[in-house]
Amino acid sequence: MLSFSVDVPALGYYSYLMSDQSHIRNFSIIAHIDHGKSTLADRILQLTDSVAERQMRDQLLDRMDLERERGITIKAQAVRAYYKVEGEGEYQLNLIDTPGHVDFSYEVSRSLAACEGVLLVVDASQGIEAQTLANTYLALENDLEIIPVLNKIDLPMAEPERRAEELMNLIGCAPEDILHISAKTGQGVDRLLDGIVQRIPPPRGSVDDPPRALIFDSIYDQYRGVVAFLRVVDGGFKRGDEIRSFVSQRRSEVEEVGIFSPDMRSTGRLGTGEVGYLIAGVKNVSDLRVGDTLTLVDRPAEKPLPGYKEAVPMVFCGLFPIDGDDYPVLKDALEKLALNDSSLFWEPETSKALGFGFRCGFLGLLHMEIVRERLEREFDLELLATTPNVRYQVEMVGGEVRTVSNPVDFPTPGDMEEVREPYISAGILVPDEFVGAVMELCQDRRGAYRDMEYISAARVRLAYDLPLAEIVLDFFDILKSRTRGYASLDYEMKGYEVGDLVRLDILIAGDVVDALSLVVHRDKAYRVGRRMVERLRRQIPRQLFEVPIQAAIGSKVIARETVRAIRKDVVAKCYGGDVTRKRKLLEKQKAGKKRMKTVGSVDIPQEAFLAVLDLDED
Amino acid sequence: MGSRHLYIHIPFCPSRCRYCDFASEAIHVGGEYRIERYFRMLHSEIQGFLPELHLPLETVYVGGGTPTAVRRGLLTELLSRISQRSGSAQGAGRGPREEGGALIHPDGELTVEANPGTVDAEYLAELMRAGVTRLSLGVQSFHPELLRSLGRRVEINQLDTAIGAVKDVGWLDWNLDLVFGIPGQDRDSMHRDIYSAVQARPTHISLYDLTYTRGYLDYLDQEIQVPFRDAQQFAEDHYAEAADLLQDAGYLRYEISNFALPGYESKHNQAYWRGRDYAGVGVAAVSTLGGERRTNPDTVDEYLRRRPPTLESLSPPVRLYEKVMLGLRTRDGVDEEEVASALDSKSVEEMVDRGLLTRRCGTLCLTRRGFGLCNTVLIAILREVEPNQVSEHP
Repeated sequence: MLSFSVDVPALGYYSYLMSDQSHIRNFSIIAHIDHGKSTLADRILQLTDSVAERQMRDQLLDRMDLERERGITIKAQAVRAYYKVEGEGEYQLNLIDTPGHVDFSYEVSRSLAACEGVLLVVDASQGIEAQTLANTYLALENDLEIIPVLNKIDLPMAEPERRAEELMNLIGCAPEDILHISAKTGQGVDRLLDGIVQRIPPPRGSVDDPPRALIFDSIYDQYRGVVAFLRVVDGGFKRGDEIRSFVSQRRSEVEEVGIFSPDMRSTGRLGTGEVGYLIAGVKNVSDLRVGDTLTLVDRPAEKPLPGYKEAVPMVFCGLFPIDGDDYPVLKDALEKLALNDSSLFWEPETSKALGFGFRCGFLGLLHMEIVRERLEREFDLELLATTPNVRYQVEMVGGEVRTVSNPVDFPTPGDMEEVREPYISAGILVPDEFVGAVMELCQDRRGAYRDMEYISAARVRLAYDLPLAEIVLDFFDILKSRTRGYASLDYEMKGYEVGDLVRLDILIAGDVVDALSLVVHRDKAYRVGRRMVERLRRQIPRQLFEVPIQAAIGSKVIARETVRAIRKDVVAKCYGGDVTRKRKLLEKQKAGKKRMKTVGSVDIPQEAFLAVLDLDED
Repeated sequence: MGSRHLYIHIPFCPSRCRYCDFASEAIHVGGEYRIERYFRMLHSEIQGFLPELHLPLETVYVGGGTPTAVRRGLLTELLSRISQRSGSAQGAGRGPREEGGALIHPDGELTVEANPGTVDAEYLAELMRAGVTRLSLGVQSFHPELLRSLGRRVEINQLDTAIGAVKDVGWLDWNLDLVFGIPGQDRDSMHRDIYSAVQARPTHISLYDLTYTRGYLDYLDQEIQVPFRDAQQFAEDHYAEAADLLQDAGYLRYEISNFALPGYESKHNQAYWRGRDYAGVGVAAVSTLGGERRTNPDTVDEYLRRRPPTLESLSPPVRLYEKVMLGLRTRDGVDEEEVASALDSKSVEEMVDRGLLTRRCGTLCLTRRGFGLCNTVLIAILREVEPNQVSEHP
């Protein structure tokens, strides 16, 4: 993946010199999607002659097609550039690229652990977005130096004064601390590079202490095995060293170390404060785990670096291959994806309606969408995904506490003492004219109002606590549509709270279709049940017999619709000129039927399983 | 071998009806010259087909468009060539003809489609002299409002004139077309349409559900603002009743949507449903000859430019598939043993259990209820044809 075969010209005499620790700067860029992070990164690479202009591709750092398509970064990546300052020599700048979406805050915190400073990039016409805020708080918590940057000042809609004010309120900086640039035209970027050198501190850490390095990301290369992205904190690592990781306890020998410039280049060693990669013949990602600390077998460090935290999946769904024969392909595909995505959770699952598949856990909805798209695209699979759901803690009558991540396993009301569901703390940034709409939406989603503050004259940050379950379906999209696109959302897990939750089952022709079961709040059960049976009635094609569709809680039916039996087909002519057309139509209809799942004796199209994901609100 | 059946397409109409699903264009588009050119090409295409025809033909069908809307001389000349009739006036439809040189057998069936508004007694007499044995009159409905819903520019008096003309010349063998499920139709108008049709005493009546094409839906929605869902529901609920009414009046249902007095079935169409080879000339015409299907281009322009037909190779499994698809539409059904390999026996039994299919001396056919669900039954019982057995090339 990172082996990008562009012919990069030699960096020059300085390239393989070990930089003095005082001349290293490790930093990240925090920015909202579309605020110009990638353009700025490109510009920095360009100005430091890191990539020849004619070979430069737009937004080099975003490798995956998907990333490029959606304009987002999924995986953190690191790039080294050299910047010469008059009279001071050459500085080694390590730019560590971070994901920008709320789903990937875990990845962000990992990359920040490898930096001493961040460029906080804000679009001068859009202002601070919720995710920028969240990541900024993260940076502040990590004691990083923040350089505020206003980008896109070349645009006519830029409002530098107003945005500067927002920034000052946010991080308490002085007006002269804020750099005004245009990454697109390059205006101000050289001053930014000077700023990076002057204001971001060099890495702390001791050259002489027993070596320690933090793995802040990793990828799996099919030829070389696990490639760990490292930030060396103390000491150094070189080829041939025998290393050990603190958490996984695994020992291995360093085959190769090097830097990204932007593609991988072997340097033979990585010194204190540097950022680069390491390959140690490890085939299993869990042996070189992100967040883990590496040290030398011969000179082991006493304590690991802080930063190891297991990524917790927040959103789940069932993934089933439409063609049952594809099950092994799906299994293989998930294995391969998980190699590069340590936060992807998956385990086998069986559904009466859909057959054999997997229950998967994701960091969020975007993560889920991306994984799904990658599975379908890279492995040529046609998949059916069930409604996304969250994990519940159920205390049974009798004391046993269970974790339920599949609605099918959710017990009936009589067996449960108490149910707890995950909650989030959400921050929503909106222009103040939409405050009412947002409050209404949050209330509708069982939100609890926490706070409201003006971050600038007309922009508000609303803080609400919400059940995660109310977010996972379509909250974000509806939030966007009700605020004409202006709202931005960030959230973090808050913990579990008690909720009056029940399982809603859907029965078709008297049979419970397990793949359609949902867990809902009791107050919403009727509304959701009605919506589902109505949608299903429209989705399920008419059969030769009447098909009742019911929504039930336990044995109590709360909503019902009926699909009428088909009594007559349309009588169309069929003469000599119609034969081929008619034949093809029949074949197409038959093929369509085959693609449906038969539950009992009722044919159900795939779309029906996604019925509840419809965005139309009642 | 060769085909004993010929279809000729005349794609010209005085104006296009809004619901029209056929290949046709309004006459004024190219004028007289264009139509004459078309007929010349037809003649030469027929000549080209001669080696593949098994003469004398059993049936010839002239359809459209509106064949009777073009200059009369053009049509009668074409018909004369086919029937080699020379002009001695005859009485009823099935009179004797001159032998030798004719494309069509003296006792063969020569059908021409006609539209009210384009025929009168004189013209019908001419057609009869030219060898036409069977007429098909496109009535669709006897109600002005329903005709308007169809976007059909025909007046009621034109209907009366046409039917009157048929009677005046004593034409015996003729079909009347009715359309079902027209927006605005109700039980009352349905009954009256059937009654009027029966009163006209044709020997054959066709009753089709209205096909809602995109163009027609737009017409309903944008131009005349007439809703159609009720009509579709009406058709579903009442077609069976209409079919029963026709049968009560003596018109036996010999195919899903075709009803005839005994002995007056359309022989040409039966050839299609029995899977016989047939040749087709003109715009959009299709031929099925010796395992190959040829489809002519669907516009007059392309036809005149001699764009070659698309070819489709029909393997035996495909032919068998089609045999079932077409045969089950008829009262006679299909020979079960002959088509066994095309059917999924389990599904066949299921359909029999449901009372949609029945067996009669080795044939499989739809029941009365099954007629209404023909498509559903076909989809259930027909096995898919393997993709490598169907091939097309332009």
